[in-house]
Amino acid sequence: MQELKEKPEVTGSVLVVGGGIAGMQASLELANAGYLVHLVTEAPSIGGKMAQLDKTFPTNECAMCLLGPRMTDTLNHPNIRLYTCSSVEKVEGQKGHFRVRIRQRPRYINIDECTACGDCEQVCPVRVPNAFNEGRGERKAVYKLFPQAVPNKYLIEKRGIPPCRSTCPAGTNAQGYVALISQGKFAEALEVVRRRMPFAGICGRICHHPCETECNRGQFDEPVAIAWLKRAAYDYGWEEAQEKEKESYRPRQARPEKVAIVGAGPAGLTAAQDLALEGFQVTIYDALPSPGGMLRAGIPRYRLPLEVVERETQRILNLGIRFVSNTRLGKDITLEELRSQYQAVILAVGLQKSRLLNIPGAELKGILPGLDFLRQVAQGEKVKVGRRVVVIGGGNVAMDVARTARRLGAEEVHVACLESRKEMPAHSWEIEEALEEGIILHNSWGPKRFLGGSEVEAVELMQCTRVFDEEGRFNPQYNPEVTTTIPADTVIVAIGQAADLSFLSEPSGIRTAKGLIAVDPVTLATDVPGVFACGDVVRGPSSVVEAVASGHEVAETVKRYLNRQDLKEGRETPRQEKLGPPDNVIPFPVRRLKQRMAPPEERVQDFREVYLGYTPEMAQEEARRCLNCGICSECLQCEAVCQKKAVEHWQTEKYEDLTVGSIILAPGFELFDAKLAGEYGYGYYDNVVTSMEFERFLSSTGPTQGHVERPSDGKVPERIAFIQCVGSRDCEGEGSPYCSAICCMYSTKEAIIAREHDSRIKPTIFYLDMRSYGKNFDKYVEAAKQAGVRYVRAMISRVEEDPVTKNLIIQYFDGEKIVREEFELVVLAVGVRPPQEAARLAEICGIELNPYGFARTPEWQPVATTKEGIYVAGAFQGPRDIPETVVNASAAAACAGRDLAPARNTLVRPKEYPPERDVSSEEPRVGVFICHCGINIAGVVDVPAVVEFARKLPYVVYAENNLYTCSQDTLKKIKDIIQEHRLNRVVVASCTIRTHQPLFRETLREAGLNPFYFEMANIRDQCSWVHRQEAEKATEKAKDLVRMAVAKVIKHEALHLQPVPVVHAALVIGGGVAGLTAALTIADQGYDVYVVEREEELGGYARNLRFTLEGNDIQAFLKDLIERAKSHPRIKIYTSAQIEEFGGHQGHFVTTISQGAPGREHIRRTLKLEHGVIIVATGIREASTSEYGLGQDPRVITNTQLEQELADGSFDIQAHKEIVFIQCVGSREGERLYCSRTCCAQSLKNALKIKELNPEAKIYILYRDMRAYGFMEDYYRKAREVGITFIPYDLAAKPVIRQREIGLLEIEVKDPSSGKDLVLWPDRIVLALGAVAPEGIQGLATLFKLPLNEDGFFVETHAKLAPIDFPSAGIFLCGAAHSPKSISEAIAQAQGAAARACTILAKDHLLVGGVVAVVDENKCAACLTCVRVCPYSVPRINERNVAEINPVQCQGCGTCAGECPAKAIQLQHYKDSQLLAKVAGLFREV
Amino acid sequence: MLFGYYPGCSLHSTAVEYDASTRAIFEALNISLKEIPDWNCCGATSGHSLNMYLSHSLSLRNMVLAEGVASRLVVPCAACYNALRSTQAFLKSGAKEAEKLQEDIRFSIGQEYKGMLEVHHLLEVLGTPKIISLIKEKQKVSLSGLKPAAYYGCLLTRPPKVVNFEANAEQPQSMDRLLKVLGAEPVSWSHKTECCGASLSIPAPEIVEELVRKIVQAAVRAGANVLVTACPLCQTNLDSRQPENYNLPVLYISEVVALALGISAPWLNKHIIDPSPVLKTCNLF
Repeated sequence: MQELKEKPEVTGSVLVVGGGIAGMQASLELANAGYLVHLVTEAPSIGGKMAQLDKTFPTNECAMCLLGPRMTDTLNHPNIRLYTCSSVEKVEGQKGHFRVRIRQRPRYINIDECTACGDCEQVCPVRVPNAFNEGRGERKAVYKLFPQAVPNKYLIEKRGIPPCRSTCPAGTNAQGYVALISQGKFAEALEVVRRRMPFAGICGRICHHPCETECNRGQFDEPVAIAWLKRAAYDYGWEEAQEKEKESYRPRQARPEKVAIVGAGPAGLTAAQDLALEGFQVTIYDALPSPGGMLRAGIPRYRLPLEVVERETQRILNLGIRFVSNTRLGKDITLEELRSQYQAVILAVGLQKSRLLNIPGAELKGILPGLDFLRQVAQGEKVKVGRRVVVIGGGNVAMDVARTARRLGAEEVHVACLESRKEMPAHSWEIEEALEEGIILHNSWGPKRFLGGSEVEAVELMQCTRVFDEEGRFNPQYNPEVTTTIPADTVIVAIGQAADLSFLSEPSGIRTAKGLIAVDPVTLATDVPGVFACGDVVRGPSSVVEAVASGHEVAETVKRYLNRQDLKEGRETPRQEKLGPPDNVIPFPVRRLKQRMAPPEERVQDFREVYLGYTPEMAQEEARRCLNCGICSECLQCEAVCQKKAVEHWQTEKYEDLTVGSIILAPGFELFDAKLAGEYGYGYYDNVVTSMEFERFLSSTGPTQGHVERPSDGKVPERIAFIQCVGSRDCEGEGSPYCSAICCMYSTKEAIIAREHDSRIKPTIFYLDMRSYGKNFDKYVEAAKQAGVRYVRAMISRVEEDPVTKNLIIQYFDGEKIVREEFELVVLAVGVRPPQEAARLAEICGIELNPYGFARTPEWQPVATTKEGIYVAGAFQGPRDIPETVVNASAAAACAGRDLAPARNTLVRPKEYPPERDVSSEEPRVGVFICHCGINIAGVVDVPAVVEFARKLPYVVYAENNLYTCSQDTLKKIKDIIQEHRLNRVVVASCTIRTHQPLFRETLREAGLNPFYFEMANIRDQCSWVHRQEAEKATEKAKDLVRMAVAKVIKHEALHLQPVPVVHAALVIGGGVAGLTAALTIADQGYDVYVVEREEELGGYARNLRFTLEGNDIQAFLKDLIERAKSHPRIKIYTSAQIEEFGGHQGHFVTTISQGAPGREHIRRTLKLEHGVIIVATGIREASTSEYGLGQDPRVITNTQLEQELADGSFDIQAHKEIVFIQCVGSREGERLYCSRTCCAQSLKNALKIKELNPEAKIYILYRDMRAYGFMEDYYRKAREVGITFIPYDLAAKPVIRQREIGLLEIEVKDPSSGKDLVLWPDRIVLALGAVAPEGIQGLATLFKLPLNEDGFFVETHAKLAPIDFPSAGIFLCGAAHSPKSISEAIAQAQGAAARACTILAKDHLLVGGVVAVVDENKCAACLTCVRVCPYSVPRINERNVAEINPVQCQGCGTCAGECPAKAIQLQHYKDSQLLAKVAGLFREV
Repeated sequence: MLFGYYPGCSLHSTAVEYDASTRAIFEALNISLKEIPDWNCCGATSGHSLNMYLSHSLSLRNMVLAEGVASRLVVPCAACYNALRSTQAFLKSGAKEAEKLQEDIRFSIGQEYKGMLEVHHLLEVLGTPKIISLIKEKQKVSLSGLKPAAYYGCLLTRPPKVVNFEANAEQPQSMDRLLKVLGAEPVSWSHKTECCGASLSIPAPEIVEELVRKIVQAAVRAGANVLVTACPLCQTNLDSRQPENYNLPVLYISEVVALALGISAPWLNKHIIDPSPVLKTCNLF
């Protein structure tokens, strides 16, 4: 037991958080090394920020093309489980055994069913800014993150219930129908209204629309005219909707239960509709001859025409509802009778009585109750009013009465009310329209008495001093002394309504309260079982929409009652907080559109409708003002259109608990919010954009399809300014003090690509220091200069906008004078910020962050966090570019895997393929797939024409074009087509076999075809890209290339890979920091390692270094590292050793080394080592120079010499009061055009050390660009703070050193800030010499057949995504052998290389062969040609005296096949017959 | 609502129209302004340029007196506002010198600063949602047709961490928002926070002329028919140093609000550039 506790079982799975390039790399590395990976990403697709990029530096390759295969590999890997839209909620446990809780947010689309056909997107009416395009352009509420999204599935974005919908008493989905109206879909809109509101035409006219009060648009200008739009849905959607609802708007079933409803007003009708749809037998009783209640008999026709009421009430009755007219409850039929005939009774009788005044003269003739007056007028009775009418009351009924009286011919209509104008309960628009019609308002007057004989002659009013008391209750106070008298022929009293409850006999048992029927507030049930009530008779006077709401509620109760269900369960929902407008919404400034109205002087003549509604066009325009607060409006159009029924609006969050052994955090990074740098006017000036926005402009899937257009007018901006360091290297403002490390390069790239897109563009980059410190970066910047990109070293303090042209003016100092320059577009190089989730993730995982919010990692363990078992990858560790991200991710995978080595291969399963079809005897059936590659190909080549052409080629049975052939859905489609058309050969015409052939071959395997029945035509790199200007000729060439590919593929044969055993050992060449770290990382995973070091001692170049910028002791670290390597049981170290011979292949190499005896190099013993992989870590050495008097004057020393002096205490403080550092000695010029990357840091650390020893020392650093990238910037800033002087110099005016006769060492340099030549007399001059490749590297490279660049550094497979791989499988690269780098960078790379190596070592067998050379023994003359020419020394003459080529060792280069004079050697897959067919294809002889 | 009121020297002399219009709009809005009794000069440019101690002590005395009037103080002059806020920041910094200053004030006037005073610039007060809705309610005249270039100057917004009440010190919006609410159409331009040259108007008028030229030309190019400021010195410089052939009226924000509230404005004739022709075209005069 004790032992078990100490060695807890480890779990062979890893959690990777983040789906960007780091997360994918780490996942693939681990999955290939035998671990199960759970990849969790917040985003709906993997790909991360790289997916947003157009191209990558320094090779200008299409980012999506690099990423696509990597994303597909990740998705398809059998050992990777992908969780999109997910986040980590909880982490418990420790290294080897973590318990993790994952929260998966709903996509509202079933991703197992979704085929990404896009039908839902087509019908979705909601358009929102496209966040993937940085807010430029629009997308729908249902969307894919980007066209090539992986998984290629849609999702729906929801924010919640918008306030318009949550405020509506009836719950009408306002956003839904408004969105549909914006698309001109009136019938669909009407259908959405009717889900909760059967009276669209009525409410569209008379609703008091509380939704508009809550509408978020009101915060910006005016609320959306929601009610008027509802009317438009009715006005323009009625006929079509009637047709559409024939099937749906009818009882769902037939139920025998009978329900009686008393009152055919809006509440009763709504309840009737709901119950009739449920299938119940519904009868409505009403005292009036026709249905509608107050809609028909109360609301004047000028507000609500009769036709509308008739149409909407009849529609409900048509459900099979029996309407019993002219039947008054209590008079014509009793409640008891109803109860005996029906299972349920609903009382919806409304408020039928007008309140009257009890004051002197109330009995006089000519005083009318308001409601009776309106009812009589509505029913067409002749109602006479006098010349002068006085209306008492300030509510909506009073307004209706007054305006009706006016229409009946009253010449003067007065309205007297207690309230002040502001307190009046009538809606403001009713009051305003009444005033327009000449109604005279008397506010703050209460009726004292009516005057007259038998007929009323006048009204005496007294002053009302206050209406409401302190607590807001209605409690009017009068001053009877102040009075006024208005003469009147007719007085109409409209001071309130009351229920007529005379039908309730004593023993009915129905309780009343305050003159209304008392009910349960939730269920609306009365005290008598089976009797329910709704509408005004329950809640007092209210609106139509509230009556409808009440009708729905009572119907729900009755339904439950008749189904014998609980009446209350689940119905009391708490009120939710109001949903605000979407973030970052900038509403276009359009005010609400006024609807047309009849002019007052005409409309008072009769009862014509006052409101004339919108035209369809106006309605669409107004609807477009909606901010779509909920994003998805739940209009359900997508659900209707989806053939696969994949739309699931009901989805909810899910939680999943996982157990994992290690955790890798790779949440990526955010970009600085450019608005915070207000001086550049981002967000205020149209033509100031961020670098990521510009990247999207360049991308063919971006908002402008790859055309560079400026936002203000869509014109091509010829003069573009790039402003660097926006939000970076910023100590005072809102930005970050550190350097974002990538912006110099990405701006350079964007400038080059912009010019490639349009040669009229003249980019200018304003920068502080050009930090192109990476491999080949300086050459890239030089190439940019050659290509016409202008670089200006200047800090830009502000951008001005010309308000007329929208051009931007930048003012800067060019070294001599102030320049004002105008640009058409400004691109802000926004910096890198820690990822949004950083703080939350750190807390959940219990790891520490650095002061800037990135993960805190120890210097010597660059991917470790402060918690064991949790590692970081990518930019979470600090700003970095893609290759470093990939390296880091591999390193994190190595560390995570190292912890779990005992559990390797315990949770994974091998990928299964369908059995391979034997097609050797079939006639060729070729399928051709031609790629648009966005506009990469289709922008030049006429792709459909090529497809047509391909179709006619012999043996071609299928041809088609695809936007992106490598996208996941297309790959799936190819598989289907292979099966459907029984294809046995496939040609893809797209990009390059280098990146994409493996992907397509895999697709063939998955379709049951041998992967070698595949051929690719490169119509992009070799056609559209190089023939941009000649579209027609390019199309012809594309056809030729396709024909060649078809001709060759016909001749293809199935090839099978051979399993060969893997030797579980690694050879590490180089015993420096990188080599030893790689060795330890591999050995810790349980594999043997041989370390071969040329020197007598281990340690490499780091032996010359003493302390780091952070202050750590390098020698102590090195000693520990060497100790650990020496004592590791699986590591065998050979010092004083060199490589003699090399052979074999990945999985099984054989290397012969010789080792000299200590002190006696010439006595050597030879050893043969067998191993499965090789890691090249040959390191670097310091450059030498004779420049600046090094070696001639002892006062001139190197940086490394100074470091030694400072570390061992021999540096004489007193003798060195003034010191000058010179940077870039021999670097970035002449023979050595690269940057040595480490010298700026070295000079900073030495200079700071001197200042620490002697704060009085004067230190000058003469530099070209201070490359203190990333967090190193802190030390650069500190150096300036402690008084170190930095003087930039130009290559054309390098510092000059002179020795004065008096013995002074003099140095002269031009100071650009003053324009003067500066002369210094230092005690010491320290030279930063830079680094060069070690001696003898050429020989080593030749022996291993590895490529070197012109600087003597090894060339990796791919600068971006394969930075530690070699083209020769099984050989990996790390440390300074790749390019100069710091110790921690070398450690990360070494760990990364170890991870790459372990993907091979983890396997027992490798599959090799396939494309190899085969000898026809009958033709072989044993001439030895092949033996001599083979660069890998594979062929040998065997015992039968013929040449033999081991297929496992053969690299498939084909050299022997080309040279063999007897044509006895054929390279599989590139046989003479196949290539001749291809050549014949070129010459149209297929 | 009661505000303490610190007009400063300008509003009692060169900028009396700023003072009068400010008082008039507060009266119309039913908000009481109570002038600090016995206030002193803030020291302005000469004070803080030559003697920080003097500058802070002048402001601190005003703050002590203001605290006796109301918890909130309205300051229409941008320079006075800047001086007061700088002194507040200085006191808050907890520096030894700040403690000494507190002691000195206690000794010399027998009262001490409790640190409870809220110092607001006039524009800040007018820009609060509550006051904006009050103004909107009392508005009698729409400012439609008026195309103001809202000019904030430098003292209102800088240094951002000390004085600023704007979300974005480089792109201030509060005056634009207020003007928009009143029906005017403020223009979009880049010179909102340019320096007008301030007190250099006396010793080096040519510098001020150059700076004013840039501001006025930019406003005209943006389509403005009036400049609106919230600083007496800006108003004076912009009104008096415009280049030849330029006649862009320069109004205080308080004067513009007064126009919207329908207050008759006897002070408008005090401007050097007569605003009446422009105001007439907008039916505001």
